Order: sequence, then C-alpha cells, then structure tokens
Amino acid sequence: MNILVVDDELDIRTLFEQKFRREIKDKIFTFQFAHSGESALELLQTEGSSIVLILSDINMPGMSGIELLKRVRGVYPSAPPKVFMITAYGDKENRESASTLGADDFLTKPIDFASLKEKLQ
Amino acid sequence: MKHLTLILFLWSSFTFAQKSEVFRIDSLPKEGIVLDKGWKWHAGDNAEWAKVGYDDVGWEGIDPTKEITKLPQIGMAKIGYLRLNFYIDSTLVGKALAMEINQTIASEIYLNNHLIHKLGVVSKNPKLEQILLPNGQLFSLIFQKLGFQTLVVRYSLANPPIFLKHKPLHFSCFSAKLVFSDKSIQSFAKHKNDYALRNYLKIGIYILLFLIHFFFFVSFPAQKANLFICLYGLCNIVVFHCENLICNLPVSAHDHFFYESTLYISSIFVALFSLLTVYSYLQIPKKSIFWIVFMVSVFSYPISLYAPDFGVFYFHFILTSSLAIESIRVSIKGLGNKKPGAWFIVAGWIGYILFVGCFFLAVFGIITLDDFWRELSINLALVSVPICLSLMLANDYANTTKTLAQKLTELNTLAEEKQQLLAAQNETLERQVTTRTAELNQSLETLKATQAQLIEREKLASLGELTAGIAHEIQNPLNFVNNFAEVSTELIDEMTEELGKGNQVEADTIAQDLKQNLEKINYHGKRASSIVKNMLEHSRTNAGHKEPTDINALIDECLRLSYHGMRGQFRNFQADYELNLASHLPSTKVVKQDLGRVLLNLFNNAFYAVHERMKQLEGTQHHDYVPKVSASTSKLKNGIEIRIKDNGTGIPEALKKKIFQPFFTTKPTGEGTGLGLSLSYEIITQGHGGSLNIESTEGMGTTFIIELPFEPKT
Repeated sequence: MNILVVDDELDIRTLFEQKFRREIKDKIFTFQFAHSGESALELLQTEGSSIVLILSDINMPGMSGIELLKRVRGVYPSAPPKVFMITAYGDKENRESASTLGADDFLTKPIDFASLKEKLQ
Repeated sequence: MKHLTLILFLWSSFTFAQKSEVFRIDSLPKEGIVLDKGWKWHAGDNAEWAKVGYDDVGWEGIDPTKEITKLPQIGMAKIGYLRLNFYIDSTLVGKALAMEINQTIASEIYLNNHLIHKLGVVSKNPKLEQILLPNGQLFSLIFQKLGFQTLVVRYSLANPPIFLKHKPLHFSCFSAKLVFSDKSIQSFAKHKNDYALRNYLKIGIYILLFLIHFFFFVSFPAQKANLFICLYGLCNIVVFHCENLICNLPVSAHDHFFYESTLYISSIFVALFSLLTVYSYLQIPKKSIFWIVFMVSVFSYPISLYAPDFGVFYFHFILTSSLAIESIRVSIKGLGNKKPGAWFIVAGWIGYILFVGCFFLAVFGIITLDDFWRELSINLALVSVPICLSLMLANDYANTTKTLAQKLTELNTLAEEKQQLLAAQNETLERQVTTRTAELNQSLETLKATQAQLIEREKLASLGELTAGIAHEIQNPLNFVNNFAEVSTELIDEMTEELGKGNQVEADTIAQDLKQNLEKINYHGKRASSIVKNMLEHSRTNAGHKEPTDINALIDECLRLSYHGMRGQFRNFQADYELNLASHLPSTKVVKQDLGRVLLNLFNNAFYAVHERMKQLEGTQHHDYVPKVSASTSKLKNGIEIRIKDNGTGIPEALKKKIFQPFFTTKPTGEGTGLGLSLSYEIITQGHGGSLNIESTEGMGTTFIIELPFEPKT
C-alpha cells in the first residue's frame, strides 16, 4: 500500500518510519514523503495510481493542503487515492472546507498513530 | 601901486561881470545852496581849461544839476570841462564848508587851480574810466580868499552805466550843494545812519524770520510754508542790503548796476515766496491765477530795466496789487476751508494797504504827516505782510502744539484706561490660562494614557493576529515531542523484545533511533520554548535594551510566525514565502522585541496584501497568480538592509504619504488599529536611527525597505 505523506515538517518522515517500522519492514506499507503541495503533485504525476492514500497537512507554505486536495480531486474526482487531511486541534473551518472538497477522513495533531493504523487496516 | 592894483581888480571885475552873469553867494542858508547857475561847458580835454584865468566866454552855458539823460552832449563828448565862476562874501572865507555831491560821471574837482577832490577815475578810455555815484556824500571845501572863485570839473562819461542806456533815471549829471560843513556833517551822518538803521532793522527782522522758520522747517519739514517764508525772509535780507548799498553809500556805476539787478531779482522772489507761503499754508492747488501772478512778478525785472518809469509803477502798484488781491482771494477761500490762520494773511495785506496808503497820501500832500510818521508808515507797510505771515505760522504751530497737548492728555487718559483694562484682561487671561493649562494637562495625561492604551492595544492586536500562528508553531514541536516520546516508548519495548530474542543488531538500530528521537524531542522542546520566549518578549511593554542580534534568525522566526498566524486567521489562506538572507550578516545592535514587532507587522501586512489580491482574483482568469512574500537581507557600508517584498495589491500613490500616519488603515473596521506602520516607523527611525521606506506599485506589490546602522546612535 503506497502512502504519500505531505508535510512541510521534515521530521514527519522519521516519525512515520519509526512508527511503521514493522509495516515498512514487512512491506505492508510503503511511504513516500513530500514537503510541499507542489512536490506532492509532482510525485502523484510520476507515481500515478500506485499511491492509494494521501496524508496531507493543511498549513504549509506555498500550496496548502486544501489546495492540494482541490487539485487532486480535480484529477481524481473520487477515490483512489483517498485523502486524509491532518488538521490542527479545533481547526473546524479547514476541516469543513476539506470535507466539502472531498477529503475522505481527518487526523488531528498530534497524530494518533494507533487510530491511524486502525484506519489503514 | 596899491591903487593901481585895486583899479585893475575893479576893472577886471567889471569886465568879468560884463562877460557873464556872476553867481554870487553872499550868505549861506541853513539848507545850503545848490550850485546850479553860471556853469559853462566845453567838450575835450585840456589842462589849461582848469585854470583860473582861462577865458571861457565862448563856452556853452549849462545847468549840470539836470538829469543826465537831458544833457545828451555830456555823454556824447565823453570827456569835457565844466567851469563855474562865482563870488563869495567875506563871511564864507576860511569857513569849513562842504559840497554835497551827486553825479553820474567820473570827475576831478578843481578850486582856484587846485585839484581838491577826485570822484572816480576820469578817462576817455572806457576801460580805464571809473564812474562813481557818491549818493550825496559830503566833500570838504574851504575858500581861502574873498571874491571870485573858479570851480572847475574835469569829467568823463566814456562808458555810461548800463542803466543809463535805457533808464531815464532821475540822476543829476553833476550836482553840488554848498553847505556848512559842521552842521551838514551832523545832519548828513544822522540821515545816513537813520537810513542804514531803518534798513538793518528790517534786515534784522528778516534774519529772525529766516532763522525761526528755518528751524521750524527743519523740525517739521512737512509744513512747507515754513520753508517758503524762510526763503522769503532771506530774499528780503538781500533786497534791503542791496538797497542800502546803492542808495546810502558811494558806489561805482558797475556795482550800482549789479546791486540794483540783485535787488530786483530778489524782489521777484520775495513776491513769489510770499505767495507760495500763502498757497502752501492754505493747501490750495496752484491753478492759472497763480501762474498769472507768477508771470507778472517775473516780467517786473525786464520792465524795470527797459522802461524804468513804467517799471516803478509796475513794480510798486501792479505787482504789489496783484499779490495782495491774489493773497486775499485765496485767504478767503482758505477761510471757507476752515483755515482760521487765513485771517492773518488778510490782516497783513490790509495793514500793508493802509500804511502804504497813508504814506502816499502824505507824499501827495492830501494828509499831513511829518517825516517820522511818514517813514514809520512806509516801514510798517513793508513788514506788515511778513510779520502777519510769520504770526500765521506761529499761530498754526501753537494750535498744533495745543491740539497735540490735548491729544496727549487724551492719549494718556486712554492709555491709563487701557492699562487698567489690560491689567484686568491680563488677570482674567491668566486665570483662564491657568484653568486651561490645568485642563490641558488633564487632557494631556488622558491622551498619554490613551496613547499608551492604544499602543498596548496595537501590540495585543498584533499578538492576537499571531495567536493562531503561535499555536501552530508551538503545536507542531509539541506534537513532535509527544509523538517522538510515544514512539520512543514503543521503541524501548521493541528493543527489549529484540534483546530477548538475542537480536543485538536490531536492538542497536533501535537504540540509534531512540537516541535520534531524544535529540528530536530536545530540539522540538527548545523550539517550542523559543517561541514562548519570543511571544513574551513581544508583549513586553517597557523600552528594551539594544543588543547584538542575529537579524536573519529574527526575520526567519517572524516570517514563520506571521505566516502561520495568517493561516490561522484567514480561511483558505495560502501563500508562498521565500527567504534570501545574506550569509555572514554581522549581528546588529537592535531592541529585539521592537524590531521583531516591526517585522511581524510588515510580514502581516505583506501576507494580508497577497491574501487580498488572491480574493480579488478569485473567479477571474488569473489562475496563475501565486501569492508570495519574500524577505531578503544585505550588508550595507555602515549597516544592513532588510527588504520585505510581496506581490499583493500594492499601495495607491495617493495613500503612500499617509500610511505612516497614526490611525491610518485601509483594513475594514475592527481588523486594524492603524498604528502598526506608524509605530514601526517610529521604532526604526527614532528608536534605531534607521530608515523605513516604501516602493509600491498598485496592483503589482509592495516592498518595505529597512535600513539599520550597525551601531545606532543613542
């Protein structure tokens, strides 16, 4: 399962790699990382339909997560890929926007990885 | 022998008596005898003709006391002799006698072969001749012998005086009056002295007039009448001095002409200045009548020169009358113009007319006046006009002084009243000022408090704008701290598990990750701590201390804070940012929290501008618009430059001058205090001695340029 994580924080990679150490080792999940909306779109173009899930932060310099969602849904009106938006606590406005634009689910920071794993399952 | 001599003498006397009618002087009356009979004349120059025994039977009989113009042969001959043989009684022999002589010739007088007097220089040569007018001067004469006397006058009239060419002046050719010397000298001296005294008395009056009005004029030049009357006085001084010289003292014909001309010309000026005094005092414009009188005055000179008989009439009657009439006319006009001093002019001229009238009535024998009263009346006539004009000006001066004194008193009273009023007003004013000052101080205090509140509010407002950003900024590191802590706990479990399996390599890998995680936790913890610290610094109210600061780091921090703040604040906000920070930028002494506030403000504005433009372009064809804010730093010679650039809405030209004014904002009500840029400007310019400038194009974007010195002046 090829998952694209989009976040401007570089350490998100370390976190995901450690959190899903076993799943990565067992090749259950493959993670790709993009640090901006623009690079995420490029990756989507190259990787194509192999990416089944996009986990995207909303607040990013340049293209925001919402914009990325809008673009993705412009290309793929419905899943796959599924798009999970990572929102800050209490960010109702963005959550509503993302929901309207076709976000499939939401994760609240700090990411509850147990919950995420369940969802991924 | 004695008898023979007597016979001869009697015979000769007889024959002499036969030849001509002998002029006899048996006794000398008190008033003297004019020698006007028995004169013989002959043209030419021969010394023999002066001798006693010369036979003048063929000579022409003549009366030389006649006016010179009635004896043309005298002038035509140029040089000639006059002879008079006369007989005197024994009562006159050896007595001190004198001749009162008037003449218009140069003469040498011989008595019985002896030259006794020279009056001028007799010469046929006009250049050498000097004609003398003795003006009735006395010349001594003593008859040494009894009986016949021979008086001979050698004369010349080669260069007749100019006035004789035109003027039938009533001057005798040669007139000698025989008088007793002692009595005549007394009477002559008295007469001359009286004449001079009268003249110099008048001159004295005019000198006084001149001096008084000269000083009046100097002290108050606006009153031109004083100048005219002072010149009037001066001209009169000349007139009477000249008159004295030509009428009272022996004078050469040449000087006589000069003095007489001066007298006439001065008289014209006297007339003009008297009229000008009147005109000037009454402030009447000079119209045609003035100029007619002016011309009448001017013509008096040539008329007196070329038609002397008419000239006398013209001068003393026509000119004087026209002056009198014109002066009285304008005076009456002046009275209508409320010039009471005009009465003096009228009085002066009436006085003149009355005194002159008396004089002429006496001259023509209509009334009887003795010499004293006659002289007095003519002299009073001559001074009545100037004295009245002077009195007029003195009266005017006195009135002016009186008015001034009254005005001064009124002014003093007024000044005192004003002083009192002023004092009262001052008191009121001071009271009001005190009250107002108190009120103003109160207002000032209120204003200061309000200003402080506003500044505080501005800080809080900007802080409020940042809250979301700060929350995000803190939340992110905290998330990492939590996540890494959580994952580390899990890693320890895994590591224990691997160690239990004896999988040392995997356990080591996990240990490495754990170490890395702990570093991450530490890093993100510090990051959160730093944000909190900066937030506290930002909200601090007291003026901070300047310290060397890493400007690049501060810009980075503020940009991120602002960015995330905007993200939190505005829905659908998106923008790109870019940092072009100069490496090795020297640390600069700044008040960190102040500069941070400025940067946050500028970044907030920049992000706001790009967001606004984004909103404006929504739904239009400009899909390619990428909102972008960039910050750059560079090193200058004595400081650093920070540029904060956005591609937002830009600032219209008209607003550029206003944006640094306090309370100016383009944001909707409630979104901005209008103090952000004004405080930023104050912080940069006054707080750091730097500059804050703006480059902006409406619809293209804005760049704020901050220049800061390395070491700001304190």
